[in-house]
Amino acid sequence: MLRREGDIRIPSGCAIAAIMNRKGERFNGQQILASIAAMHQRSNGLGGGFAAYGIYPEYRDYFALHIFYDDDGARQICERYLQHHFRIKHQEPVPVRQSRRIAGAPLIWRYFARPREDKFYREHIGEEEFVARVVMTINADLRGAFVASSGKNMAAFKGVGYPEDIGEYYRIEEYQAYIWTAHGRFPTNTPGWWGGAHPFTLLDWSVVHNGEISSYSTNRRFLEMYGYKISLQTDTEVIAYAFDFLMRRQGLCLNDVVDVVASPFWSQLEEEKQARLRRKYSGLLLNGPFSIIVATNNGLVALNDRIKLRPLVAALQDEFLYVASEEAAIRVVAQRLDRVWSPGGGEPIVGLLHDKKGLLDVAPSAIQAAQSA
Amino acid sequence: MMAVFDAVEYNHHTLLEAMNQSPDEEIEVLNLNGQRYLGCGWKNHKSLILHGTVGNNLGAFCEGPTILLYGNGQEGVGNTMSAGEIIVHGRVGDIAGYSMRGGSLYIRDDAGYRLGIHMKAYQDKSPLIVVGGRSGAFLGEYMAGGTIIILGLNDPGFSPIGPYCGTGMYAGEIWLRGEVPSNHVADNIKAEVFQEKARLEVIMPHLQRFAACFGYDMSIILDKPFTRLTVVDKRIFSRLYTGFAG
Repeated sequence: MLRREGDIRIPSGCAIAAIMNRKGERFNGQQILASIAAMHQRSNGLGGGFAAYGIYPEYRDYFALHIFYDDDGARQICERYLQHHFRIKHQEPVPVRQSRRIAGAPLIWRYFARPREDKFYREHIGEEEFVARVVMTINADLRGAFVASSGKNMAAFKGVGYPEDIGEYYRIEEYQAYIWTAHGRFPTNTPGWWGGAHPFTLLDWSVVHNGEISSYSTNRRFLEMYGYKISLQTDTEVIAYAFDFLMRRQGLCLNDVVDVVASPFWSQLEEEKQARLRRKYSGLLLNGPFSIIVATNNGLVALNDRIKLRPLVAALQDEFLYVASEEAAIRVVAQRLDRVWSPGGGEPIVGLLHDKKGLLDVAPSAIQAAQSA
Repeated sequence: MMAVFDAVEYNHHTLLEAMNQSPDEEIEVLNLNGQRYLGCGWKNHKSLILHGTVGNNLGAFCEGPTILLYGNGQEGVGNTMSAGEIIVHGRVGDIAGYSMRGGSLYIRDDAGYRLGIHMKAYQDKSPLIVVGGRSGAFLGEYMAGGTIIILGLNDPGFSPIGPYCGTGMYAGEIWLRGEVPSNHVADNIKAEVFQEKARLEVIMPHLQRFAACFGYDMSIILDKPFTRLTVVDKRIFSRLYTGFAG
């Protein structure tokens, strides 16, 4: 049995990093591995992980489901459930490199699949909403199965260990991506388990997080009203769902989402629109210290809490955007930088692919589906 | 005698050990990237010359050394130092000069959030921070003594400070080159704008030292008036719980 996280608190001390090529040109996982390894001291070996975008071009139209299983029995039960809801184009174990430094790994499989049309048409929802619901059902109700990621052309590779060892275990240097994010974890009063490592994901969204969301219970209750199953009992989970809710389902633009999750204090609110968002989505204000990197297939946003209680540095070099908890983690992979800076609290660093308007370029059909949902 | 270390040849731990055990008065370290606690706790008058991006807590708790950094600092530069001088040819991250109680810290470019938080002075000790660029929000938070000078030399169009400057401050002085947006300064702070150079007498040696460190012309530094921020009421919480006027 995998140990589930028993407590909501994840105290800070973690490391986060991201490297993105804004032209969408892909590069392998060696740089992000070196970047997160440079912050080794920020982790304690109880969690590490990576999100990679653009790694499955041959299956770009399929949802890539990466699933952890406690044992083969859990796999068989989960696969029956998957076959009932999806047409699976291809499935295989995720290739790993055995290592003495990685122990207690679950069975890790991936499935390239499309939802069965009769299923989601009958429920009058779009296929993304359908996949989101299936993922939450597996995580909440299928014992011994955990969906690590469920987006298209992306995956989360995560587990218990130092991030550099986790990266070696998953052979991330063999993947080519245009966005990489990474996390080194330092949990001090909750057990480290494979599902509890970062990134946390839903559909294309992935979140890596350093800090603590003290508004977790408020955020959780708000999201539960809209059908999100908060089953992992970790604060970072609500960040992924908050972005999913505000952007995919409510259709908010990124600036408005930032004003919701890292709203300025009332005394510093300048526009009526900010105040309106603050009132309408007060349950999604993320309080407490955090630095996060949220990524999708279109780009990424890095953000601090509104009074900046965690470190965050960004840098640009040609088409590359770098973000990390420490400048040293950027310098280790890019000595010559065009610009290095620290954003203020609540001030997002946005990296978008050249041809994208927002983190989520929603197709008209998806908006319709979201509105009817 | 001068010792030269190449940081690439050491891990974090062995580098600190080699530096701490070196008998030389002058120590130069090349190719630094992310090494924490350099010069931490040094109680001596050695000279440390560093090249690269240093890790957190450069010169923390130090008492006496001169630290020259050619590169950027991360978080906690000069944390709780009580004597000595740190000169950064670059920028620094958050909480530089945290609880500093003596010595001086010169930063050529920008400083992050909470610069000089909890700084304090005692008897003959009075810490000093001079920043050539801008500082982030919460500058001088809970400040209890010493002097902070922000010059804003690099981005003339922007405010040299962020919001909530001087929150919870009850002693010490913050000097800003130019005038500042009043909504950035805490309620308890009095801002006085000085046009005449004669009024800058107390900070003039610090400005001259800054100009000498980084090759600035004094006429550029003095081309604007200075604003001095000091506290109005030293007992800011006196009315909060007791109901009595302080």
